[in-house]
Amino acid sequence: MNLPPKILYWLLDSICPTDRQDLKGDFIELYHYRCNNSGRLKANAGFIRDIITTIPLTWIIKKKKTNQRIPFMLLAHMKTARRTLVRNKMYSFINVTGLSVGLSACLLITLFVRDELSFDKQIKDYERIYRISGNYQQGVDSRVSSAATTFLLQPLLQEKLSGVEASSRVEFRFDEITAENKDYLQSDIAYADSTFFDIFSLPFIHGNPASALDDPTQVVVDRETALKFFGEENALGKSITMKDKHFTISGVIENMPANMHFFAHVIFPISGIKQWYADWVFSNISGRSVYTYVKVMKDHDVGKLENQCNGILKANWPQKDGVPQLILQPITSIHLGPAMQGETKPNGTETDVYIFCITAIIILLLACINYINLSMAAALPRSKEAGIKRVLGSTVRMMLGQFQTESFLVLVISGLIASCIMDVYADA
Amino acid sequence: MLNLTCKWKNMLSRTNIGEFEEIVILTIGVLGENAYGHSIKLEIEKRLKRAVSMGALHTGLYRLEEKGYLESRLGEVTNVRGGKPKRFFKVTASGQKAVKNAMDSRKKLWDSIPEGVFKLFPAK
Repeated sequence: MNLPPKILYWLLDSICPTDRQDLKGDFIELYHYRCNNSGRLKANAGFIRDIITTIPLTWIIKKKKTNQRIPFMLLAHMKTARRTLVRNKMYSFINVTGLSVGLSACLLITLFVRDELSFDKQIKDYERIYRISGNYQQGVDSRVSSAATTFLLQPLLQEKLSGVEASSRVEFRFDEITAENKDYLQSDIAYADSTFFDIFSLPFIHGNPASALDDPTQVVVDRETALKFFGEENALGKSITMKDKHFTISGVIENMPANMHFFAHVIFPISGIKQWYADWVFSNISGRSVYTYVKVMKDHDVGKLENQCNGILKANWPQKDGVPQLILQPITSIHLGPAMQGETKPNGTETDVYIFCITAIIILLLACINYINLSMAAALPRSKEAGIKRVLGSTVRMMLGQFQTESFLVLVISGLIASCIMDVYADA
Repeated sequence: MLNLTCKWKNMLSRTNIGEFEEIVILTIGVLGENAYGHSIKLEIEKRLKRAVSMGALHTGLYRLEEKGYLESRLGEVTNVRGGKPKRFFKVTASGQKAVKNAMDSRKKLWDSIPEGVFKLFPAK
């Protein structure tokens, strides 16, 4: 019996469709016949030529295979996968629970990290908005960083600073507000300059952002508060009362997102409430009562701007020393930056975010290792099943498909459970 | 477009077969019980003195079986062919009809050739 060389045999194996064993037999028989008649060399050449002529046939057969076989096989795999999972209840329970708990922990951490990193990024032109905070001298040589600045700073800057598109003061309080003869203790009230919406372009449902805070008797509320006060969204032109002064609603904004470094339900113009300020606010330049925000013009040098700010403050400072150092803080760095005195919301820290990231990776890794370990332990007693399947004529690829379908099923189930868990805890 | 679809339908439902297909079916008939890939190839080469490539033969066999002109069964596994079985072919009824049809149509054409046109083979 003359057999073709190994390399030709391998070539035949790789080209011949697996379910056409008889074709291989014909090739081998033909090779033997040619060897006897015209020698090995010619037989080899003929073998290669014949393999090449067979290539179109493999295409024809393979095309049919993909049309019919795969869904059928997948169905069979799903069936057996379900059976094994139901039979080994303990194993599947541990496996699914472990994987889903690990996955949900990982997902929750990812959500948290994403939330922390997304702070203030949804505001339009966020990269050009800065908060002016200061480093103040306290006592002899101790200094303290504060997020708030003096009430007098913004007018000075507006007058003398170039390269700034808009600047605004903001302050947050809570107070009693009367609307339609009902009293509410309203938290998250902001006092802001009329330029506030030039800096923070919050989406308006009703009203015009350009003129919403221009008049001292105007006020802007968010949707939630409009519903609370008047029972309807369109509250334009209605009036509310604070400290016996009437304000007319000139705009309704969307509820502010939770991932901003400040939050307000109601926004009053500073021009309308400044009569209630204490006297020192207007006279004391070293006071710290409001937050000052600036929107810098495009491509303007921020370092230069910071020096200019400090120069202006120094020129108006009554004493020689004790001038605070002003800092222009990009608003995206506020939430994860170092906490200053008088922050509007509790800060996050960058290290926390990193630690959580690493924890998530470790949890995922542990869940994977746990899963692999369990599956391997469960696969050992199944060697008999594998053996019988092999004898009954399944190929290695089919067996792989079987086990992969099982893993896939477990993963889908635990993925569903994990997303349910995530959904329940995500709001908390 | 309509013309093209009509053409396709004709091709799908045709009962006439190609020349090579006809030869394959007839050879399977000649071989009787012992018609499998290699023997068919040898038989065609021996009787008709023309080379047959494995690809062409097996593609033809596969197509003919798909159309229902042939049917096949796998034989016993023997050591001679590297442990691979033989696939024995048999001509089905529709296959027999197809070759008969082919032969008849040719015969009809032959018989209708007027005297004196084919000078080498004058009609009887």
